[in-house]
Amino acid sequence: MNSQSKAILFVLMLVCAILGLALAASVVNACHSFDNVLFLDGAARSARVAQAVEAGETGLKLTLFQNAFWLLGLAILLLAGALWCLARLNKVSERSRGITKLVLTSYRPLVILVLVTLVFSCLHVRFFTVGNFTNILRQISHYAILAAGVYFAILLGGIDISVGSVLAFSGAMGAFILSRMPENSWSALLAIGAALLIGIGAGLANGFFIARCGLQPMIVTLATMSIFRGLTLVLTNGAAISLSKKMAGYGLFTGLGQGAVLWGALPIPIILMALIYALAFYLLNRTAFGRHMYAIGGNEEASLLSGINVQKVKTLAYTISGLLAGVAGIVVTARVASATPTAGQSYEMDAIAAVVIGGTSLRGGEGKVLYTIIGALIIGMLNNILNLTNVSSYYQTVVKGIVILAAVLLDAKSVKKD
Amino acid sequence: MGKMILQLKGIDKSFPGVHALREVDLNVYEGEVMALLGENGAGKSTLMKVLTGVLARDGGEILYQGKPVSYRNVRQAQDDGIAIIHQELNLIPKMRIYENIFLGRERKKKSGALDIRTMIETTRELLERVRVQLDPRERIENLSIAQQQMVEIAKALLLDAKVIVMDEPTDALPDEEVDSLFGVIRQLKAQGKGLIYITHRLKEVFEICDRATILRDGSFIGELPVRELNMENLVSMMVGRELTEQFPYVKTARGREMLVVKGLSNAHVHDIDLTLYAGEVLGVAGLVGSGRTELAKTLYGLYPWEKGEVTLNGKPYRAEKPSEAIAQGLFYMTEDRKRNGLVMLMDVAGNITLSSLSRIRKGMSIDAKAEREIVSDYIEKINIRTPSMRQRARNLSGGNQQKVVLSKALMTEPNVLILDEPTRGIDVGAKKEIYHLINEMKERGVAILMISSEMPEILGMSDRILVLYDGRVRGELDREEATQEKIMSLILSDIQRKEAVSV
Repeated sequence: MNSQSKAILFVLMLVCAILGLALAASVVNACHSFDNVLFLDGAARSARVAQAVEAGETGLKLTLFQNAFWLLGLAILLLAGALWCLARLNKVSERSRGITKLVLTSYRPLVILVLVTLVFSCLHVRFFTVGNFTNILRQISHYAILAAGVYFAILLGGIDISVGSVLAFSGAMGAFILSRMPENSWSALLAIGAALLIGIGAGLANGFFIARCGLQPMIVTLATMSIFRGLTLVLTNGAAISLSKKMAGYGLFTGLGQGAVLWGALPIPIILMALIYALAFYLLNRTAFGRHMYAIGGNEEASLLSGINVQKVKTLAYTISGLLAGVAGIVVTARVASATPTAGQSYEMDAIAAVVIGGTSLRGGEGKVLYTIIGALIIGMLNNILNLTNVSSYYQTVVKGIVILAAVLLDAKSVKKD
Repeated sequence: MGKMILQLKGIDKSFPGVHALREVDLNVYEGEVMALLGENGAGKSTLMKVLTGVLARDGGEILYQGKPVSYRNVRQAQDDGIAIIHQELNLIPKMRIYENIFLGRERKKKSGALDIRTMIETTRELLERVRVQLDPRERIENLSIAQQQMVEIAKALLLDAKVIVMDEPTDALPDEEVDSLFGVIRQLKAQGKGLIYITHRLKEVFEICDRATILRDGSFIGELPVRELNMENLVSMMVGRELTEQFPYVKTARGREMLVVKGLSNAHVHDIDLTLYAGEVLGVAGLVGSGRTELAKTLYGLYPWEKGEVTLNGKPYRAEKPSEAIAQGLFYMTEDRKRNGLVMLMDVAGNITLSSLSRIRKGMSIDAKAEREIVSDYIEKINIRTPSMRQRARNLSGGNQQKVVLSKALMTEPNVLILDEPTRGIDVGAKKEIYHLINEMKERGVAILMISSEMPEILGMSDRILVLYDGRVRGELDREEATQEKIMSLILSDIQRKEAVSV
């Protein structure tokens, strides 16, 4: 194929893509003006149009609204056309193939995030708003903090499923201390300290058995998951420990889960989450420890022979995972001002799902920690849109499972092509 | 000349950025061995992948017994009679021989149960045909590599393969077992099979092959009968230039004692005494399993010591893990760069600096600028051919991967460098570059312990040669007096002595 037809294909693809995106965007816009246009039936739609006309709305918006379905169909058609052109172009142009591959492998979580945002924005008027996104971010912060820790374990080619239980136990310990020292105003700091220490201790224990004794991470953390869930039940005696405003440390402690800065616009858990991810990014990408993490995940034997202290790095990684579970324990307990014995149950699954959807390989040695937060965000947005559109929460679990499967499938496919 | 069984004509294949094969031809004749030769990256493996359908070809055609074919996977090719025996054998260690041979093709009785007796009997017959005496019920993990290869060949015979591809079959074989492999190859020839034989050991071409097809940089250079070839023109066809003296040995003044080992013993080596001087290469010869690699690993802190004293650069030396060895100035380059020499998923830069990150630290962080400078320095100095320092190690050719490992070793600035099979599986040109690097290090006063299975390499590069057998030092030879025969007789004398004792 000569360069002239290549250029024609390229221009065609660009035109299709731009037109398709523009149409899709205008449908989103229409949805914003008129509730959930795509799911209104005929009668409701006519009523809504009449209402709009009465309110003085005219022109493009109305047209868009009335034809949203057709427009969306056309947008999809155009985008498919663009994809077809791209596929043709990839066949003949190495550079185009390279770029496509890069977008579909290295930037895949970002691409999915953008697509999902676009689709969800069509589905509900309130989805794409600052308030809703703050809400989503606050909701995901719990398991996103866990996921940052689990990422360390998964990067090593291991796993940590004990984080949900560690979260529960450290949160319960915090609440326990607060409720036992209602007079002491230092109790909040003590509670925070104790929760963090429990996280570190749990992580060290996991690290000890995995790194020093060479046991399977899955089995070790399965055992500690059970142990810490049990300890939580023992400590709370099976009932929730509620925090009350009469306790001296109440304000400081619950502030970590309920507080917000910037006139209430930016909740503390989001700030904590951002800080933790910034720190994790720094550790993994800018320090020798991070380099060693990637090396061990990629090839443990070669790392040992290169003079890396494998046991130390592994222990440290699981300790970080435990510590972050402790942090999440504080945030969760503070948010609801109560420690329940079932807190954090199945959070480890959400955390692992976030890591996987973020494109991290379960074989270890490959991944980007910042994509984990995108993975968490995708899960959060999914839950959010299902809530907004009144889908039963029972279905949400099913949908989440399907999304995880799809993510793993994509990962496996891209590895195969490599 | 036998009948042509398999013909690959004008095969063309491109990858992003690389034209891997350009109009390559390959013919396989009945009852003949066709050598497929070329440096690493010449396209041999790609060609075989195209043949067995692992990769789709962009152009050309494949004729098998006169009919055009195109396979979509290895299984299809096998069923049709084209078997490929890989360098890394495809057997399941925990399973028995007959289970491996019939894997995926299990014989069943009418009831649907496995017909174990028939499978064992057939396996026994097949093993006899390749002349190995093994119980079909033996587990693969208990077999030597040579025996495992025979099992793979037996598997090919079960499928009644007419074309058998052998990818560097002698790479992991000790010399005495190479002969028995050749025996089987001759027998396969007599049975009218067509063989494709891929190897880096050119000597074997003259020994066992009838014709040779030579590739260079993905292009077809020629197909010639082996009797019209000699070592020189073969090499020059492969590398496109004449290689004069094969081993560029340089004589350097011997420095002070760098590594002194006295009576080192543990489960793998016994009473090792050796002295290694600065600026010399001490070759370590011996058969596979003679304790060569074990000695290196013991010094590197991978096996616990029972007794013995070691001094390095005048100071007492002891290592319980590799990090301690590196800190004291000793580095060990492993024999298997793919398995444990490199982190294949990491980029070139990450691999080079992996052992010396503490050198480029700025506060808590890695000094990215210093890293870039040092790495590009090594890439230039060591002549690592890579599109960028951010290229993943697995995308480099074998020789360049080895240079990355060498750079990693050099960056730790070792006083003692242990090289284990430094040129295994890399092409002639890269070999030469590695030899020059060894010389350069020698001149800079590094003490080098070089383990190698290739006798000419040991003889060609060492100042002194240490002969090991059964975990013990059996003798030491100076460069001037050393010959292949003397080394072998040192090893053999020991075997004979043992036999005398046991009789």
